[in-house]
Amino acid sequence: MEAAFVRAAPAPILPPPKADAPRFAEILRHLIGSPKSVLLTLAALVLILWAVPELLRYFVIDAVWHGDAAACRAADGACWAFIGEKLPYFIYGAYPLDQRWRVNLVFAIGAALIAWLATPRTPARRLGLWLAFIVYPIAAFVLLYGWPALGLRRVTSDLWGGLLVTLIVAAVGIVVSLPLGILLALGRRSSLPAVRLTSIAFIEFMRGVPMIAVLFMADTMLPLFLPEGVEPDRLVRPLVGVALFAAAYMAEVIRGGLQALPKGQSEAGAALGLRFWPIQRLIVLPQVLRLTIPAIANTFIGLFKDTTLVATVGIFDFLRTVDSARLDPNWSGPTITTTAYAFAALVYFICCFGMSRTAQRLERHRGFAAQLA
Amino acid sequence: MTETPARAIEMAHLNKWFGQFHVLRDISLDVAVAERIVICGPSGSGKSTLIRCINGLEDFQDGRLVVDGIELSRASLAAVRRDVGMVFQHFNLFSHLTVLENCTLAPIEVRRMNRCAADDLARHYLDRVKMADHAGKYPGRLSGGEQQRVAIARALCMSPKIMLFDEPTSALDPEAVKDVLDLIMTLTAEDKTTMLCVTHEMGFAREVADRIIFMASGEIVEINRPEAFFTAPQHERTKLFLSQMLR
Repeated sequence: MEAAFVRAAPAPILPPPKADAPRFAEILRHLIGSPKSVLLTLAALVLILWAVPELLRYFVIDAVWHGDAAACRAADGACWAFIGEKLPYFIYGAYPLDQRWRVNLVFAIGAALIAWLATPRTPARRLGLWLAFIVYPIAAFVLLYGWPALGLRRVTSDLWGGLLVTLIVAAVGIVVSLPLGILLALGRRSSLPAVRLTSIAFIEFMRGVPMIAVLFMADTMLPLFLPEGVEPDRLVRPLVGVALFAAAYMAEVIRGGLQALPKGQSEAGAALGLRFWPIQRLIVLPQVLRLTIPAIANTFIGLFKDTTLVATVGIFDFLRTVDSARLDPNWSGPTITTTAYAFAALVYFICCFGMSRTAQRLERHRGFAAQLA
Repeated sequence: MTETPARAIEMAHLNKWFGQFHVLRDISLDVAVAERIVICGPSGSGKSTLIRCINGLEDFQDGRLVVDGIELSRASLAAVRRDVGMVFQHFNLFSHLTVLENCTLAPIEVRRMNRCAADDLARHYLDRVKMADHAGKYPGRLSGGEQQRVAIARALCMSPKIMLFDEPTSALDPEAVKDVLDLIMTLTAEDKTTMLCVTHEMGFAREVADRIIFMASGEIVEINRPEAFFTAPQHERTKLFLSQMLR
């Protein structure tokens, strides 16, 4: 019997057809191709024309960039001069003027470490992680709190404030919640009932309570757990609260990743003779962390914004300093409040957007999570 | 000096339940050193569960299992696993590590080898499975057959005394099946490794096995030499299975 088709000559191997970049006509067709498109385009244009010029006028053209309170009261625009004068207070709080170089040093080292570690394919990441997670926190504490023996005079935490405190709360929350969250997630999947039940109880309690309640509890209850006469620092209490609260959320994020990883991965590790912790460290967590970078970043961004709640237990974080500065009678004026809050929003946006972009960069980098674990 | 036990594996009256389901029923089996066993049977007969018991990936409720002279228990698990290699149906390569790193992970972590020695060892075995050119690639870049060859090299890097194969070719396309089976045949013949292989490849079973074990519904139904197994099966269940397999 003859075959229905037998190839005589091979089909030619060709380059793909040129992909057209979306041309102008194409874009135009999307914008005004149908009556519905025209209507939507017009609506969008009206919205843009209505909002953008007014925002530009208020925050740029009519804004007061240099000058005093009187100039601000006279103008109908943002009072950036006010922000300029209050900026040191927003950054350092009441930290003594002549000691602020210490804060700057902590910021500079922190920025350098972040730049080092957030770069894909960076050299010596292990050393960097060691410095960032062990050495830096200790050094930062010594620098900020002081060590008279080293010639650094004590600056108690009630003088700390502003962006400094916001960054400290966020950084401590992030650095503590990730490892603690990993342990809780593993604990929740443990076959040991005591470990599993403790983890579940902790996670569900923390998630079931508002963060403000956790902060109040940390503020009032933490001293009860410590021996008589030991009074935990006023700033340490909310730090503990924030870190534990964030860890509960982190645990659930990590657990989601653990469940997504095929069981065969840890089985293959076990079959090779690896024990539980090496399997987690070398096989499971590198893959789970990479899988969950978007969700981890999400939690960190949420945590960063939640740090504003520490103001409820009397900590002068960034938003609280902005809020109190706007009530300064020397600068009273109709535009001060708007300017102050717009500035606060801008600062939070820059921080959160930066975290988001960094996470996206790391997501694309395969080796990152492996080096992290 | 410890004397090599004549028996690689001793299994006596093994019983295992998944919940109420009696998945392994009174399994007794001795495997000699360097013996090559093929386990076959219909799906759900407990073949995979049985070989997963040997390196402790599954536990069992009743019976006794001695692997390479070591009685299997919670405490001896790691020692047993060091000397028992396993190849899985779905390869289970570590997707975040390169082919080379997949092979060096256990020698470095478990055998405490230095990186250079582990690299050399891994390259040696990757060469034997004809994957040396792919050492720097990630598993996601490889075909199924290539991944399984790497998985075999990864297991061999631990110089196991016993190799377990859990349906090593069930997830492969027909061209890769022959490739991987030939590889298993050559390697186990050269190294005189004790081998247990769960497979549906009857041609392979006939060629490689010293004994074929036929399982159904959680029990061993028949153990036979390959020739006898295919030409003169004894049990009715075996006859039925073979008649369906060879049709």
